[in-house]
Amino acid sequence: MTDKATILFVDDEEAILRSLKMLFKSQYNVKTTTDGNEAIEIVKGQTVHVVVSDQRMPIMPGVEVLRLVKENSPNTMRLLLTGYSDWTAMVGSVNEGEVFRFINKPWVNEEIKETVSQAVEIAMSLTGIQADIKDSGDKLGVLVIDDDPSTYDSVKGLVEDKFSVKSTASIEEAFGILSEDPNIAVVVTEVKIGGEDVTEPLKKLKEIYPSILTLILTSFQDTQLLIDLINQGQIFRFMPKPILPKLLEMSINAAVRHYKVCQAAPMLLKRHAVAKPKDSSEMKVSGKIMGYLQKIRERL
Amino acid sequence: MSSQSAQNGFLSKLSGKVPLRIMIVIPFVALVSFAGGLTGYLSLRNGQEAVNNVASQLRGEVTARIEERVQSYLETAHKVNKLNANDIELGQLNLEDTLALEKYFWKRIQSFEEVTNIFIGIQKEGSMYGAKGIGTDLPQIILGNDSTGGSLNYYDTDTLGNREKVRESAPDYDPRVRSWYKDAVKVGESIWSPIYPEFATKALAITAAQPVYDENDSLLGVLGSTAIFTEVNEFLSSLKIGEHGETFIMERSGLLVSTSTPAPVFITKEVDRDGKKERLTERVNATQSENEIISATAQHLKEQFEDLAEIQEAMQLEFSFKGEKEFVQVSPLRDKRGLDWLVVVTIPEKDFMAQIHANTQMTIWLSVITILLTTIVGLFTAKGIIGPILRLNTASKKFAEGQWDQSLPTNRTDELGDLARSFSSMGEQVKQSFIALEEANANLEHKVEDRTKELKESQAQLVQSEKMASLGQMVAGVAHEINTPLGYVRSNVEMVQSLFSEAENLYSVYTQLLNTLTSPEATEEDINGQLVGAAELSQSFYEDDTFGDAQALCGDMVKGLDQIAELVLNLKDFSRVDSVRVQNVSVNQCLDSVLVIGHHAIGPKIEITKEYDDNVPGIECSPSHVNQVLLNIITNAAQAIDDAGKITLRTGADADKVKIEIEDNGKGIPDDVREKIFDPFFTTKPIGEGTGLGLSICYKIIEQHEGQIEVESEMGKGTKFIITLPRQTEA
Repeated sequence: MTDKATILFVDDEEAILRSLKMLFKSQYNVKTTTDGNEAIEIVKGQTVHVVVSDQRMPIMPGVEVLRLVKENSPNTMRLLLTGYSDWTAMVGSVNEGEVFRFINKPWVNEEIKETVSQAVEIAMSLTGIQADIKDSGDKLGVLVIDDDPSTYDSVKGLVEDKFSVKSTASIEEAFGILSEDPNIAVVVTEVKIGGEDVTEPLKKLKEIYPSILTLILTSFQDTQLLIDLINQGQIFRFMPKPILPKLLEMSINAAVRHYKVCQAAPMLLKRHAVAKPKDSSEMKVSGKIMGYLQKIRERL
Repeated sequence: MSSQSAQNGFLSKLSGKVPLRIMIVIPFVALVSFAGGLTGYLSLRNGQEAVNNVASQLRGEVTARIEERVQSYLETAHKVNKLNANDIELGQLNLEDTLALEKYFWKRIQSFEEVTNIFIGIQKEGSMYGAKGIGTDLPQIILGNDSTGGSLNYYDTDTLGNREKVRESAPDYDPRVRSWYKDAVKVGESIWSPIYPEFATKALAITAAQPVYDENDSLLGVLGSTAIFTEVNEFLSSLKIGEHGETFIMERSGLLVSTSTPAPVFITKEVDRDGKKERLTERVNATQSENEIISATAQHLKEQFEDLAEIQEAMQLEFSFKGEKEFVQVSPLRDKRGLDWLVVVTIPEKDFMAQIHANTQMTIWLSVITILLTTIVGLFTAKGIIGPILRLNTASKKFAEGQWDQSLPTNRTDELGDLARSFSSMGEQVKQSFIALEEANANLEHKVEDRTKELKESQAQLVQSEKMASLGQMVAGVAHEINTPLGYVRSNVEMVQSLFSEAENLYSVYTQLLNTLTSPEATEEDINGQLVGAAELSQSFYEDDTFGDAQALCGDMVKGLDQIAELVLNLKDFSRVDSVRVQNVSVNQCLDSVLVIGHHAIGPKIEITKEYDDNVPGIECSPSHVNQVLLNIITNAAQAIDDAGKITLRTGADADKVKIEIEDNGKGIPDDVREKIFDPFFTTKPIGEGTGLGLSICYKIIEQHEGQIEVESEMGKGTKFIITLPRQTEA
């Protein structure tokens, strides 16, 4: 039984914990607690492959649990279980907890099993991997996708001295730039460009370029959008507009660092595996992008 | 400079009140008046000075002339005495020859008009000889001796000087007892007798008396010459002293000697004395003179000098008589023979001033005419200048009244023309602006109507959106509350489902075993095999405690469903969007259901303390509205608590009210905010996060329930909302 993966559930509702334990006990070594502090102790004391935490808890909110888990055990995959989406908590779990997936209450047992088993698989395969960052010497690039030129100006002003900054106001052109410039590590993008929702192309982008980190910079506040962007687009950060320069700069730097880590240990890219959309969203991506994708696939 | 500025101040004060037209004329008139007045004043003053000089000179001259004349006139009397005395001394006149004496005096008197009587009183016999001049007629002879029997007779004479008949006679006359005789003898040289009235001439007279001695210095007699003042009177009258000037001579005692006027210097009275009628004369004191000027002047002198004897030299005085100024000179008139009088000259100022006054009057008239002319010319000029301005003024007034079309003198080429043109164009602009303004006004009214309508709509929308916001908040909370039990119930149902299929499998295995056991064709091998399979399956069920698990799962499911049911029950009140009033609502229940619905919004870290009055009476209310208020206040309280905190809910009642208190120990509300929290659209949240209507709607709702909502707060300690609602009235 020692080869069973360990998963930890944190929720203040005992019935939830009983139910989940019942669901997973046959496959995994299941730990449960209603107390965030105890959860951190468990993670510190043993290898925990996956943590699934509720957001709303009286002692410690889920975001805090995930952030502390990331700090104490970076390889543990982190999932957030949430009953009703609390916007601030969710953004926090993205940016601070670097959450792998959001799971909505009520869940479907098959789906939660699949998500958890995917997380477990990734975590198992990454156990013990340490990445040594090495500089390739190439100047890495940042691509800004926004029809508002001030975003480009802000990014340029913040990081131009360290990275080459490119800009486009069209998602199609973005794919073109990415296909030609292999040094682009980070994409800073709006979710609506020219009145068009570009979340689907962005998910596609992550699917094709798992190593490129996506930073969302938007004035939209939609929890479902954020859930999709995490689950299917594995965005690295989500930031509100108007731009907070300090946060933006820190986020870009963090993204580049993470990019370098993943370059050093490509296995780690697994952590950013995206979930397949439930319905086929291929249709939503324009033919032009499909053309680029075709080209890229050929090159790869 | 200061006077000019004062004048400016005055003018500037005046200029806003007085019509412009007068304002322009005033300075001209004022200047002209000033110049005229000054000229008049100066000429008057110069005139007066000149008058004073002239009057002074005139008085001096007149006085001098009078003195000279009177002296020389009176001196004649003494000269005559002297001549007579010389003739006696030289022996040319023999006092013994009485006839010669008569002729001598008769002749002599005709040589001197100045004297009326020339005579001699003889010491030896006490006789008297003389002559009396009667104007142009032949002189009379005066004779008093033994031949007349002691009487003193006055005889008419013929052309040769022979006595004719007695004209007048005074009985018992002895010259030696007369004062003039005695005084002269006493003094021993020429003297003046006192003044006495002369009946014949009705004038005063004075006698010059001179004693005559022989070679042995024994007294021969006393010569006398009488001077009468008639001529002095005439002289004085003849003097031209201005037009109304008068002069008079008086003794130091004040008795008049002579005047330039007809007023008498003595009066005659008929007195009864011992049955005989006797005429008495009485001299007139100057102060008693019939002539008013004389009496007034004398009175003035008397007032000025205690004693007229004090006046030792010529003095000039002035005094007011009947409102007119009188110039006066008083000078002593003396001679070596004891004459000591006063000559008084008085001249009214008006004699000199008449011309000057005439001049002054002329000046005044000229000034008045000039002023009038200036005023008229000024007014005309002003009219010329102001006329157009007034027209502009009128036009502007009419503009103000809204009469736009005003004709103005725009064809003038001067500044007024400029002004009129600017005014016209300005007026045109004003007119255009006004028309535009009126149009804009009309539009504005429409716009205001539209906007008001829009505002009402948007206000309604805002209220609606506030409702939706709180609804959304509520739904969010409720969704979470439901999703949690729903989560495990759903999961459990799935698991129970799979357990059922396992149980179904077990059941089918057992059914097959039973069939096999009861089947006659079943072999021992079949039975054994199936028994082992069934036993193994049962074993695994037992080991896994599948049924126990299923029981537990089902227990949680029931619990979860109960939770959901409770939520839904509590939702019922909140789901009523209408404002139907319900009887007998318990505020405790309201608070409880708000706590359930608001559980999510309140958050897990806040401790709720309930201090309910279990017997709190019911209220009649719209539960959905009251719950909305309570939810709003409780969630606000939760938001006021930063981390962990406490909310205390209290209920209670008095005779006619039910009270709900919601107290938190959060950060508190600043005073300036607390005053405004019930104002619509007031919010402390960032833009976009609150409509600012929540508490204002709460206020409205409580107001509609005839209740009150109050707030007490202390910074750092917390806030307490107190809601009072009327108790339900017994139906």
